[in-house]
Amino acid sequence: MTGVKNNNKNADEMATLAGLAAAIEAEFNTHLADNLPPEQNFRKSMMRRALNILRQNLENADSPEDKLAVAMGQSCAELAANLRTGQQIFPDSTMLQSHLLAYVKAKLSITNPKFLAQQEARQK
Amino acid sequence: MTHKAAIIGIGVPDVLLDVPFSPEKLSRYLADKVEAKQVSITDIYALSGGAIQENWSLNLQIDGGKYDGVQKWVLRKDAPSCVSVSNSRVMEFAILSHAFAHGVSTPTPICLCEDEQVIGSAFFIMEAMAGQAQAHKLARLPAFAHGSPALARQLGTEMARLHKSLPTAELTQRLGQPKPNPQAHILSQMRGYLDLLGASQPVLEFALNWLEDRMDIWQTGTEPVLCHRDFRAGNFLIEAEKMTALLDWEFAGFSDSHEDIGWLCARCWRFGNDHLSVGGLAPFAPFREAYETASGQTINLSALGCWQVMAEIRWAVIALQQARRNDSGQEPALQLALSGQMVAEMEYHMLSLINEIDEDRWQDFRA
Repeated sequence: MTGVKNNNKNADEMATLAGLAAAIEAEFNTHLADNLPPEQNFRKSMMRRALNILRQNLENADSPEDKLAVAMGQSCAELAANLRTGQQIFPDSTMLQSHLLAYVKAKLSITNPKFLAQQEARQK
Repeated sequence: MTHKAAIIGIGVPDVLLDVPFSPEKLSRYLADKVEAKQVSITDIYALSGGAIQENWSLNLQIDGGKYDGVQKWVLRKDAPSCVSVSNSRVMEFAILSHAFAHGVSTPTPICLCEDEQVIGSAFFIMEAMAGQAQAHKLARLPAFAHGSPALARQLGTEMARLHKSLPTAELTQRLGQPKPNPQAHILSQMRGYLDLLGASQPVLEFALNWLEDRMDIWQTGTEPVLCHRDFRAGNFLIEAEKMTALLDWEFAGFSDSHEDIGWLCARCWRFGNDHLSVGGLAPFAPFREAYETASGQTINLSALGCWQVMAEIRWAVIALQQARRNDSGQEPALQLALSGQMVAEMEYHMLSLINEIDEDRWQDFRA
């Protein structure tokens, strides 16, 4: 799950958690990462990536799922279910694809912005 | 009693790992199995990779019998949890043995142990093979900067050899009769896995629907064949631009031959070398020529595009399953958790492919 959204927490609490995640990330990158032996490089890169994803999720008030829900007028789960059952017809497939692509790009901007930039350059 | 082993490549005494089984018990079992007077394990370490199965390297000194002398073998066993789509070790050993017997480059199968008393689960032993499997590293080698036509030809020939092989009645019975419509079967399978995961995935649902609407293009009308179903860079060993062994037969089964080709050529398995359709290591034209010559089968490019989309869907579903192993608490591991974060990459490829095919801009296999 890319978008972390906890409706039981208010904006201040989310900001506090985002701050905590940012502090952990900075602590790891500044004081721990460079002191790890070379054989831990794979674990180090996993830790960096995971902490970055966690912080960015907490910093984003609206998750990619929320943005897709606003664009489509239905929740992500409802959209998936409607696509499965075919109960709701989506006459404008281009528009649907465009919203889905925006959703995927929003997720990638959190999970792998480098990949997104490379692919966007390739498409041009 | 606790047993310790190093991770390959580290080799310093303070980073020893627990070995989750008794090397002494394993030695006794192997001595009995290969009819040796004695088998001594001189070194044992976990091989990296293998999120679904565990692979342990064994350096052995064998006294007597067929394998007398120094041997380097690999023990393959289940990880603590596995994904829904993978075969058992018993089945995997049977398929590996079949492929080896039909001339596919694989590790030599040595023995299968179904007795869970020996190391706690079924396992099999195979010969260790030379070569590099790490696709990210291979893709960065100068030899592959412009793609290796020689490797492309070998991969085409090896894949055709597997697809042409006829499984015995016993193996067919174990695998289950081929599905008459592999496309419909895999669509249903992927939807079933999403249901089991309880995952709301609108992009995957959209892509599954898109494939279902193109069944007439996707279906090739060819007879299902034995496919590896994970034939990609990362699952074969390469040495001097040559594949020394095709590994990881855990997903093998009957399917349309284009499934293997679509998987090998999927965009998610190119490791940054997007211009090299065959695993990011080789161009498509020599692969195609070698495959068609060796198999006598013409590759249907339109169907292949559909299988490319399915490859992205299938890898996304496997990534979700891997993440679930962590999320459920069954097997907490950061590597598994991060697999779930990769799904958006496959979704991007799915939507790009669909858009390019719909707009007649798709050029993955054009010379």
